[in-house]
Amino acid sequence: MDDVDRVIHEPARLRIVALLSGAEQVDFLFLMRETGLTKGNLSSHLAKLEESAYVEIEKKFRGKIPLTLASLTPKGRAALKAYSKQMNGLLRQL
Amino acid sequence: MANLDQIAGRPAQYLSETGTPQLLGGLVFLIVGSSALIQTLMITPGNLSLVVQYAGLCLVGIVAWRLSALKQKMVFPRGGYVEPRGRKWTWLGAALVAITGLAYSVFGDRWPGFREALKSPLLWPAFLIVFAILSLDSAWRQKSALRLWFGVYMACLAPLVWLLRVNNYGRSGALMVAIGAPIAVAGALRLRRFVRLNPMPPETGNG
Repeated sequence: MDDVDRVIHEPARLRIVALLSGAEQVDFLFLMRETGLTKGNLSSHLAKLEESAYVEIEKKFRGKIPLTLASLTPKGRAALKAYSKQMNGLLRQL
Repeated sequence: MANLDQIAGRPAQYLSETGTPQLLGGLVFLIVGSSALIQTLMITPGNLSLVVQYAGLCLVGIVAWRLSALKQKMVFPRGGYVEPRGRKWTWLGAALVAITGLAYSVFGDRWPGFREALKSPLLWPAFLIVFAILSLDSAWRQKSALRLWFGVYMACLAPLVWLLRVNNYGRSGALMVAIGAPIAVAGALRLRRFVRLNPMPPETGNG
C-alpha cells in the first residue's frame, strides 16, 4: 500500500478525477454539485490536483461572471488508470 | 472503492438528464423526415423539391444553433457546464454509413436485383420488425421498461409504414417523423423537469 498515489487516493480527489475522466472539460459548478463539496474544499482539492499536474484549470469570463473550467491532463488520466489497476489488483488478492 | 466507471459516466448522464440531446436528436429526425415526406407527396417535384430539401437542412442548422444558445442560457447556469468527450459511437456511426454506402455501390452494380429489392414496400417494415425483436430481446435481458415500449412501438409502426401509399423514400421520412416526434417530446419534458428542479443560482460566478 506504500506506493499508492496519495494525491488520487483521497476520496474527494478520486471522485473529482473520475468525473473529469468522463468529460473534456467541466466547470466548477458541475464539480461542486456532483461532489457535494463546498467552494473552499473543492478549490483546495483542485489546487492540489493542479499542483500535481493531474488537472488543468482555466479561468474565463462568461459576460461579467467568472467561470472556472477544469480538465484532466494526460498525466492525470494515466494516474487514474494506474490507480484503478492497482486497486483492482489489491482487491483480487483479498 | 467507489465505482469509478459509474462516476466517469456522470457527465454524459447529466447532459442526458437535461433532455437537450433527446430534444436535438428528435427535432433533427422530425425535420429531415418531414422534408423527405413532403418531397415525396409533391405532385410536381422539380426544383421545388430541392428547395424543400435545402430548407430542411437550413432548419436543422437553425435548431442546432438555437438549442446551443438555450443550453448556454438555461441549462449550464443551473447545473454546470460539461463538454462531453468525443464519443466512439460517433465514429462507429460514420463507419457504418460509409460501409453501407460502399456495399450499396458494390452490390448495386453487380446484382441489378439488389436495387430493385431496396424499392420493395416490405423493406422498412422488415427493418422495423428486426429492430423491434432486438429491442424486445434487450428489454427482456436488461429489464428495461423503456426499451420494451420502444420495441412494441416499432412493431406497431411496421404495418402502418407498409400501408403508406408512398415510395420507400417517403416511408423512410414517415418513419423518421414517427420516431423523432416522441423523442423530441420526451426531451422537452425532461428539459422542463430539469429547469423546474434546478432553480437559477444567484449570479456570483463559480470558482
